[in-house]
Amino acid sequence: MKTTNPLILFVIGALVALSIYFFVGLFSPVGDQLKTAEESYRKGEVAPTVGEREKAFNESLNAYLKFEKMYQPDYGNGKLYYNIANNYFQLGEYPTAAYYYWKALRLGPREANIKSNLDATNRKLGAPIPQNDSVFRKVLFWHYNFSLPERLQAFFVSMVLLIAAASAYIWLPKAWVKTLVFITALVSLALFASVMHSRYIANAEGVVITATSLYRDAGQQYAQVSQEPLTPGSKIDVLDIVQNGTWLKIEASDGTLGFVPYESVRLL
Amino acid sequence: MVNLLRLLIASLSIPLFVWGNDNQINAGMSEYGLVENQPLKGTITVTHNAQIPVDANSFRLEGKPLKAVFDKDVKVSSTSPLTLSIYNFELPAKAKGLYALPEISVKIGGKTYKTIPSSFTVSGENEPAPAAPATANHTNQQTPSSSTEPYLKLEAVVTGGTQPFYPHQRFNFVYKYLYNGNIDLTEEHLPLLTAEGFHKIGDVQVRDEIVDNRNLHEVTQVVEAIKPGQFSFGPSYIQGLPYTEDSLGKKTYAQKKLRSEAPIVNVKVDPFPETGKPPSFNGAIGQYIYKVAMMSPTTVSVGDKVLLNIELTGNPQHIENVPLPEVCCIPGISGLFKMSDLPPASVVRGPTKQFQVELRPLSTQIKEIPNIEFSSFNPETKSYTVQQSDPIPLTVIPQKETSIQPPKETKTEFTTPSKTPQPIEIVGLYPLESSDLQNYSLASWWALLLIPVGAFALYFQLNMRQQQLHQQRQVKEVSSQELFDEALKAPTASSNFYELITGAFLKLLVEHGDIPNANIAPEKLPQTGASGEVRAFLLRIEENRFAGRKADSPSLHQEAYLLFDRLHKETAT
Repeated sequence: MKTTNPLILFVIGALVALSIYFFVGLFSPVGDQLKTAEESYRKGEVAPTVGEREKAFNESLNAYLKFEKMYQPDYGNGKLYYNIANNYFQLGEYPTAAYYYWKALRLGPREANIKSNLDATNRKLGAPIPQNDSVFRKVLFWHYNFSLPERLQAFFVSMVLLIAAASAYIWLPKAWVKTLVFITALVSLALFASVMHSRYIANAEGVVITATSLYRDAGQQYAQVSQEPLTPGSKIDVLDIVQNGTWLKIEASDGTLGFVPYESVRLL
Repeated sequence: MVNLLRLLIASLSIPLFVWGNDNQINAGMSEYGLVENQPLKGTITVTHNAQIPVDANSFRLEGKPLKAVFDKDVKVSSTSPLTLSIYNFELPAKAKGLYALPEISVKIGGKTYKTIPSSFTVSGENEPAPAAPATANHTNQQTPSSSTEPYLKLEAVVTGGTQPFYPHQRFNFVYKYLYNGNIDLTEEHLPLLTAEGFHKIGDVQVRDEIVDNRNLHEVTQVVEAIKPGQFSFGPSYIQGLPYTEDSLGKKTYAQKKLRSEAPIVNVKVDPFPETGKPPSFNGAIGQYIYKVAMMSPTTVSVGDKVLLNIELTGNPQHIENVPLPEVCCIPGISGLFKMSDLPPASVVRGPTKQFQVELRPLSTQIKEIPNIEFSSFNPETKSYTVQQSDPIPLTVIPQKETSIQPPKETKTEFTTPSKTPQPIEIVGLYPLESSDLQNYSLASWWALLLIPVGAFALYFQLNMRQQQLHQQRQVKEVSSQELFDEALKAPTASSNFYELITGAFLKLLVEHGDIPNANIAPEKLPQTGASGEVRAFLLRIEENRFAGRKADSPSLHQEAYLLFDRLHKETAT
């Protein structure tokens, strides 16, 4: 009796699964809702009056915020956050727009649109535009030019390749296999160090949402570090959380250290 | 460097922080029995979710441990998850006078909550007990002849201020139940708690304590006056049946019901006096510390946002309600600044309320934010207080020239819904698909598990490989018979024959157990036994070979075969 090759069965099964996935995606209600949100935004762009524009952008914003609440794609491509930020910008809510642009940029660090719109927002706010041209960034390009989810994906793939290459070397100890093991190990190590740095070493970041003074310690009874308050929309490094989560110790973009109330910052 | 674990825990505790928003702590000294040179008794009432415990060892008074004895838990209602936990405490005796009870803190679910400081009076030993701060008349309706007789009395009072009250002023409607023994209430008519004509603030607060060997159950509703008028509530009454309970919990009710009635409570709310009312007054009640500060750069372009922080600090009872001064209409603001369409955001923290006001300058002629006046009414002195902030210097520069034309400077420039919108300044949307709402596949921290899994898999394979190689080495070992057969195939004159025959006999001796391994030279073999026979044979054929004597192959083969076969059979047995 003729038996079917299991590999062929596996390939057929995978093709069927992919077809179902795309088929369902075409007729998904989520797709319709996304189109509606996009249409509202486009309507806002061409609206003849301020009132109609605001109404359209608010509709688009509410729709995207619902998606954000439902899906929370913090390990996605950041496009949803970019669209939310655009709506906030159009409605004049620049600090919140800056927050979402930063969130999108973390997930899409190579996207020119996000950088361009974030710069426009920072100009509106008078917030400092961060400079990213250090040598460090060029040398460790994989850490800065790829988002954390992308690096995790790459780490997964490189580890699989490393395990496969090392297994091959055990059974086939050839020089070229050894070279392959060495290369995949190097790549895996670099990616491992990168994701570990992002997780355990890098500071948490936040965006100032409401203007606040920078205090010398956690409390409004303390003196202010400077006369000028922190500009809404500026990105800060969060160094510590104190007073049962009601105050944050931060480092501003100019390197100044101080404390701010928790509610004036949104964490990225 | 931030501790990410603390960040994670803090982020996770935000829902608890929001969930636990119902938690409150109130503390007060006993209204009766505060006499000099005697310990002063007080009560702490903690309102909390029944599932979040109160840490009874965490009570602190001015940072020092305070011993608070648990009295009872009272459920707020059958549908509410809130519970009132009542604790009693004692302070050392003090001399006669007015004192402040500092804030008391306690931990609920790991989070610290604090009371608002309050004041209390210690009366002299020979003075009568302090009068209750009530404005309503009340008479004793029942005077028990002994403390064991059932006793029930209702008092209705208004506290938190003296009458007349004024609109937006907050005060308390209080019912006090004084009773002895066990009483099941069958009827309650408490019109003060419905407070018609007043705005109720929060839920009723309940407090229980023991006063002069009687139980005091106090129910308080904070209310806010809405409009001037004369309001009457009552008479209020409660009615119940006393009962006794045996050891099995069975109740035996008395024949006669107990009833207590509190007379009508009159509340007067006066309008704010017109005499001396400043134009800037908009309903703020109480005394405040008033500050205005700039929260944005002091040099801006026309149309840029300027943020003002207006801070008011005052009585916590009224601070939540205090309105923002009317900034829009102040001379120096009106016509020169554009206000945001949205109402200013406000935040209340303890006794302080902060407003963030957005303004946009419309002209380069502006040199300062003018002084902003704030007026409040003090109900106790019945007078107005007017405060003005200092002017704040502001430099307004012309807007930078861009391809986008700025709006024309006019005296009253407001964005009306029908106005033409400005050109779009940013790049447009990304068209999204449902896959854009998902996280990247394989982009998970679970990928780190590949490290131990991979290490284990490689270790396992390494072991397998070593076992395989070991087996292959064992299989490659040739037996003495095979070597001997190979030797017989080789020509007797060849060195290969001598090597093979020597190797076959040495391997045979190893199999026979006479020698440990086959790496021994024939002349070093023992001279006795099987080894001796092999030694003699091998040395003879070696001697013949090196002497150049031509060996007779068949006889050599036969001799070798006979010897090998005999020794092989001995090995087999």
